[in-house]
Amino acid sequence: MLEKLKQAVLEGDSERAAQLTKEALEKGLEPERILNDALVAAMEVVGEEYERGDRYVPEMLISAEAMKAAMEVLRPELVAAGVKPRGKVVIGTVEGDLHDIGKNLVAMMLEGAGFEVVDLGTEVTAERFVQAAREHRADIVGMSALLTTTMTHMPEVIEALKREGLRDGIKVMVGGAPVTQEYAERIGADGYAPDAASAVELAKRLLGES
Amino acid sequence: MRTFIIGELINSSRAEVREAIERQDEEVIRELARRQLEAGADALDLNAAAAMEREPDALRWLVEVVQDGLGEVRLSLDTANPQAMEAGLSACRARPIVNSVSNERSRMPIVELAARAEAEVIGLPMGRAGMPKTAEDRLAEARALVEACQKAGIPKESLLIDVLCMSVGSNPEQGPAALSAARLIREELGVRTCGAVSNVSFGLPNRKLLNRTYLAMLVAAGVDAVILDPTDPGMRETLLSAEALTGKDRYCMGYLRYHRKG
Repeated sequence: MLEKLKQAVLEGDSERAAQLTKEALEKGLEPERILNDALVAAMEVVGEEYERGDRYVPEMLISAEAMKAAMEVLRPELVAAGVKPRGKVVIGTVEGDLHDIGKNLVAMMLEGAGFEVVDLGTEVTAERFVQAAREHRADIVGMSALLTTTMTHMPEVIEALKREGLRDGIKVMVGGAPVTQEYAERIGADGYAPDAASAVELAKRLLGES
Repeated sequence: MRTFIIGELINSSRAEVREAIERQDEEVIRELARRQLEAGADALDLNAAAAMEREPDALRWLVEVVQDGLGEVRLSLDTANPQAMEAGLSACRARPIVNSVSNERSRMPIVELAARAEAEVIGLPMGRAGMPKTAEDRLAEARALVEACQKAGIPKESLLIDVLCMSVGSNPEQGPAALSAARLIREELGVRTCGAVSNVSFGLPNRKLLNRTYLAMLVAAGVDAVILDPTDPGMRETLLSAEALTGKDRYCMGYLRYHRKG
């Protein structure tokens, strides 16, 4: 049953994924098991295949959609069972930057890995990052920038988090075409990831999982 | 009317160019310029953004290196940094192309620089309401941008509105949206359009095939200028055949000349 659900997510069949989730719940399977053994497991495969170059962006998106459809059925049950997400991530593209493809992929893959994601969209000011981080008690703040002229807003956000006394409890991860590991270190971010799949690995590592 | 070709290779997001800028290696830059011009480029795009805080000097250096080797070449200065734009413009001998302005407030200083230099201007139809999704979104942004440019003293004839070709792998509707925008913007606003094809294939395999197929579609949709790698034979052949097939190449002379030269 869970194997079939996993397969439905891998194939990007939203209807079947929602239906199988419903059936699994009716059969009395634990919501947490459905989440981890079918949905998260499927998205892990999606991430691995993408990193290997065996899966392309549209195939990643369609699987994420199926995962979402399943989550809609599953979420109320997870909440009722008191299952906590892996961590909370506030994510956005920095001020002055409208690019959202990479950021959206990272948000989807993080959700797929069991994180709760608050997506602030594009052109997010330092103030809004800080406000959302506080309001949602974020574990991680993720920033994306696709322009050399906008990535300079990243250190401003880190400064703002420090100023507000939030930096110690929050990990900062950054990404986007002009961003490099070296730049991440220079501005004092906790990590850099070159693509969506490695962003998930990074988020897990930053929160002390492997 | 032939399609105006802007060669995209001298871009500091490419390692070869970034390193040449760092080492001040004039020969690498000149060779890239020469190859693109030989392959039919009408203008060369220059981008030095990776030089970060040294971008103004780096961009001026690119302009000078290309002109010193190849004379009066049309150059497209590709930067969002007003200091870099000003430095580059001051060194241009031929009429410059400013790449790019938009409705984002941060680009207004560049609009003013472009007006003062009497440059041709590539305008991105975005910035008032985020990133456009449909052709109509692009038209609305383009309309506002044309007005803003005219107010700043840039005539409509100097503008090229970019139709914003975006990844179809992330959103399949973006493919037809940019194509329809080319027609809409020309018909409704009477301004020229341009397109850069390489984003369209993001996240998909065999990107070159998608890029050149989309190039043919853009030509058919009537874009006036394209930003691409003219040294890629597939690109060049596709452009030439698309022009011959859409009446842009009178008596198919461009196509025939290419056929004879092989």
